Amino acid sequence: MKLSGPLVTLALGALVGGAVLATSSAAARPDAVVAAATASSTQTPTAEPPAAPPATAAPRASVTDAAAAPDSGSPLSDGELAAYAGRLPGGRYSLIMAVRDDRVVAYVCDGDEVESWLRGTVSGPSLSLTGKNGETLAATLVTGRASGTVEALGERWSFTVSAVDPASVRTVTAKVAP
Amino acid sequence: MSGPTQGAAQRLDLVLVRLALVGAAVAVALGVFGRVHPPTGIAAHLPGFSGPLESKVWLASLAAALAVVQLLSALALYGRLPRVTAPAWTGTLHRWSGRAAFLATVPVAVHCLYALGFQAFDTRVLVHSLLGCVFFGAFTTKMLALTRRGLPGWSLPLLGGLVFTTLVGLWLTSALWFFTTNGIRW
Repeated sequence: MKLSGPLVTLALGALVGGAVLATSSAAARPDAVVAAATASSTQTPTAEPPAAPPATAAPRASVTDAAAAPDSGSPLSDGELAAYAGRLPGGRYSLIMAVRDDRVVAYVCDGDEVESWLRGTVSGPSLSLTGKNGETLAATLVTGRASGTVEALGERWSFTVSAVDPASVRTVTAKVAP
Repeated sequence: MSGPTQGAAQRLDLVLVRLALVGAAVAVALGVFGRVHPPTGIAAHLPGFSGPLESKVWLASLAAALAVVQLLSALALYGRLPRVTAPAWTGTLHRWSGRAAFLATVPVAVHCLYALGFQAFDTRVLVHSLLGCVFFGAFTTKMLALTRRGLPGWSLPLLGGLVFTTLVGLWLTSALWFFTTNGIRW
């Protein structure tokens, strides 16, 4: 049987696609952290975070990549201000989060027309935020990064944003000033 | 239609409809995957580029450039280029540039579907998502049609034209938008 060129082309495309997909899912493995964090932070946030946050146990167990393992407690020392910022998938919206002690504020906007504010609490490495219009955000802080899921402005995104200099996002960080 | 009887012609038309349905199924499957699978925001990208978006827009631009080669070589093969007689290697050029263009689009599509998903938050993004699904459906139908003999003469130009048009639309709604928004960068 003679191999048919067009069918070979389709098969090659499927092979390349499968290979890229496999590489991509390997690259996205820290998402296991996100899934675990989302699951644990959908519980009603407690008013006072427990001294030894149980949330850290679950994500750590599910992560094989040591570099992506969440810190045992909050990655921040007392009173320290941290900010995380980046683009949401799709590129239109930006997300900025500011964290101080057990408080966190997040801002989602397109830099033009629409914006959304969320507030919430920090429990160990887990962030859990809500907004006035039903917005929700759940994320995990990993060294230098924050990964999670945000639902706002009628969309839902999974995201990873990087730590940035808090001074560079003054408007947002002012919201968590002591 | 000189050769086939009316019954045979109807059977061939049915073949074409079946191939189109296969392509439509591919397009719908990609769209459903892109919509249902939660976007990871993370995916592999090519070394040598500053980020996944940069590698995507350049792969897409390579595919778009090859698509122009596709259009010109197809026009030459069909004798539609004035004062040009298609050299003997035109068919080979058409096949291999098409194969290369298709393979260049595959990693881009995987990144789109896996990391970003089928989105509709503005017109550009909706059009791009739809065209992306249609492109791979149309390409599948075109490849399958190439393996069948005796299809109506307009089948391949129509399918090829659809593949070309969707690819150019995809490039306009992604790479051109990226270059005009962020400047030309690697």
